[in-house]
Amino acid sequence: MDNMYTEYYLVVDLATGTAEEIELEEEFVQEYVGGAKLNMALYEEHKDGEPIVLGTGLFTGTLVPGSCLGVITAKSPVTGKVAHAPFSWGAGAELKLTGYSFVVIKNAAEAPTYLWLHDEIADFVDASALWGKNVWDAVDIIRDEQGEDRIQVLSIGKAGENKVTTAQIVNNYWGDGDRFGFGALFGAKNLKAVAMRGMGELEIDDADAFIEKTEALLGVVKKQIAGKSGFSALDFANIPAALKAAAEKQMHRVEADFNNPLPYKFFLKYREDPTTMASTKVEEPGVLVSDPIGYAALGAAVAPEDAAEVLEACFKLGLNPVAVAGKLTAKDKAGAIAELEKMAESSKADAFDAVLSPFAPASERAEAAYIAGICPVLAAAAEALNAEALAELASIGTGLDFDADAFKL
Amino acid sequence: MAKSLKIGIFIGKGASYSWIWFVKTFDALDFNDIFFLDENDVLHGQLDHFDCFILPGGDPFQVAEGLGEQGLSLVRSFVERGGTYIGVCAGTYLALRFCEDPMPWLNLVDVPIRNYARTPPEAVRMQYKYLVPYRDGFVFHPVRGSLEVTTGDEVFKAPLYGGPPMVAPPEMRLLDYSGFDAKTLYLIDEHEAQRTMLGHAAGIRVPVGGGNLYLFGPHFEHPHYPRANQFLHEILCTISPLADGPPALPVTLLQGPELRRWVTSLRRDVSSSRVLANGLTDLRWKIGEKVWEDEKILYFVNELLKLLKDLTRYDVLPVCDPASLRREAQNMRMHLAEIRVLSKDGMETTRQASALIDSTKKLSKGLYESYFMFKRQHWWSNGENNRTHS
Repeated sequence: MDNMYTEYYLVVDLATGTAEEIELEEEFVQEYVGGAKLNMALYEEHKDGEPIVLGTGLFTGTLVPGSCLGVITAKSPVTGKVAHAPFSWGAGAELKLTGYSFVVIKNAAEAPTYLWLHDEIADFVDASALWGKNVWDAVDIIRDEQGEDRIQVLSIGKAGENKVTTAQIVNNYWGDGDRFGFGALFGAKNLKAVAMRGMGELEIDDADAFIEKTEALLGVVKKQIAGKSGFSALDFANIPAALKAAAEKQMHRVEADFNNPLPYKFFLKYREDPTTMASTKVEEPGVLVSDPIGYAALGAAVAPEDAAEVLEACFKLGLNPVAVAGKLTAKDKAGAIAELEKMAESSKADAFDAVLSPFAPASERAEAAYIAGICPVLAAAAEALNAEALAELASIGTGLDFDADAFKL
Repeated sequence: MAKSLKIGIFIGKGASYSWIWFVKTFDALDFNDIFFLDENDVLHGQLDHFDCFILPGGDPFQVAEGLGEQGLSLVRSFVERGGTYIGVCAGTYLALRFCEDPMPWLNLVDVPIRNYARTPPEAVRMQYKYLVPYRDGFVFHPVRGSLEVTTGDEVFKAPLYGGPPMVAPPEMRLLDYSGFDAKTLYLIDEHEAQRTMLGHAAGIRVPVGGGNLYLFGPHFEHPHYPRANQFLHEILCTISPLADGPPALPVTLLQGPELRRWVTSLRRDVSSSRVLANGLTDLRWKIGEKVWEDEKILYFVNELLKLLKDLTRYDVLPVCDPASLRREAQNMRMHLAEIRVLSKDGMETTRQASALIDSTKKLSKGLYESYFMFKRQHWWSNGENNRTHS
């Protein structure tokens, strides 16, 4: 594919330790566009290998507002269906810029492994020393081993290693909306992590027109999300007033994903004064509330002022906070964290019925966002990011002809 | 068949990374007889095989030390016997006799420079690379980055990274510094910089014996300055191609899967090196009199990776010593990993940086040698973009 995507996608067989580059053909993109839709086609093609597909949307890593989204597609051990979970922050764009817009991970490795993708190179790295490490330590070790702090890591903690269905894949240090137990699939494959660092470049068919349209779209999007930041962008998460009040006391800053004009994530500090903006020697001062629904769920289970620290424990163990919150019986922080430790060894998520992760409001725009590679939280807030607008941009960017129906699953 | 110009680029001790600019620009201008020389090649008489010898930017003290009295003498006789010497920045300082008691360098051209003083003006920024001690005075660098030069008829832009403003008679002068622009970075007071630079020679041509020296302050070879590149091209076009080029090197012809495996193994190490180099922050090493910043390493590594990506499309490639290039790629990665670990603990890394630069140069040299050998042989089909052997 000449434009918007990389030339190849990658098919990894963990059982044989081989990786095959396959040309990403224009006809394939014309039919399946990208993101969840194209992932699904790849899943079907490689179904025999019980694949996990990591994919990017057509716009992931480009100038289109909110173009941060990567999508994980696999058969969920929770729902029994093939489902799609998001990975955002910087990891979506990073995957595309490694030179592989899509990665199909088949079969299981004999021993703990992590996949290291960089500049169109796929390395299988022994992860024996990482097995048993919590997510935060694993991320630090991988970054140290490969030599850069900007390496993006999708990894699992103890929960995934133990294949519990409440496990989730964690994006760097922070949970990112995997409600489908995909963490357990990583564990079943002996796959501790996928690490990515890409400094590739993307081509655009009509770059001038694309940039002009994108800038105009950004202007409209900014008007539609004007004034929204942190809590005000999160009406859908139903964060109760008491939890908001507790969070306000711990609030340090709001954060946004790669190229996302909507800063809906927020960092809470509870191990140092949250008003301190300077770097201090406190190594783990708090947690990024990257999963507001998970935070709200934990806030209903434990005291509001403890919810952030319990969320941190979920991220370190690689547990889905929504799945475990309802199972917590202890009301105190230490008791809740001890229960989470046990859940990481053995627990089961309640089944639910969804194909897209219920991380952001479900809608036609969310569907389009999962195909286009746009943050679904932004898509929910900005009407301008609709299928018609995305189809027009897709046609300009690729030189192919797309209509709004292309952005429906 | 008409002869083509045989160009030797010095990449030995003291050469900075800017020789890659020459390579890229000459490649774009379709000069294919590009060869790379270090001090040993010069000492072994290799200059006899070239029409033109390029001494690029770097550290003239180290270049002179590497070449030694004998090597410098061989460069002098190359010019006297009709060769063309093109010096840029360090290559220019090396050729000039700009004070009464010069260092024992080439000293082929008696031309003072405006940026040599016993009491240099005060630096306003980049103190660490503003000043170089020379005998009982200092060579100082008034500005860096983009500026304007004029031929008298035309003004164009070129970048300056330490080259001198020269006080040369009209018959030598090819271009003068004529102005600064928005991208010029002042290392001393702006007015003082103007007084020091403007109206003085940025490029000169000096006949010596049967040959010529072209000495430039700015980097006319920088690939982002097409008009400056054209100026360089015009000069090269005035040189008669007489030399036969160096004897062919023994090569291993890598083909098909063997070539792909070899290139992939290099890409793996170079990409890992790129990740490591990206992870370095604000490191500087003083090697000789030259200050190397970590971003210069990154430039080298990025260019290597681009070249390797290009080479993945080839089905056949002549390589002088595939195993040694493989080792240099591994060394490069190893040195960077070591620098990362040591620098995190605040430890000194100059020795590792020096070894890293050496490995990077050797690998770059080897790969570019292969690239130009391939181009010279015209082993690919006629399609402009088709580099597949057929």
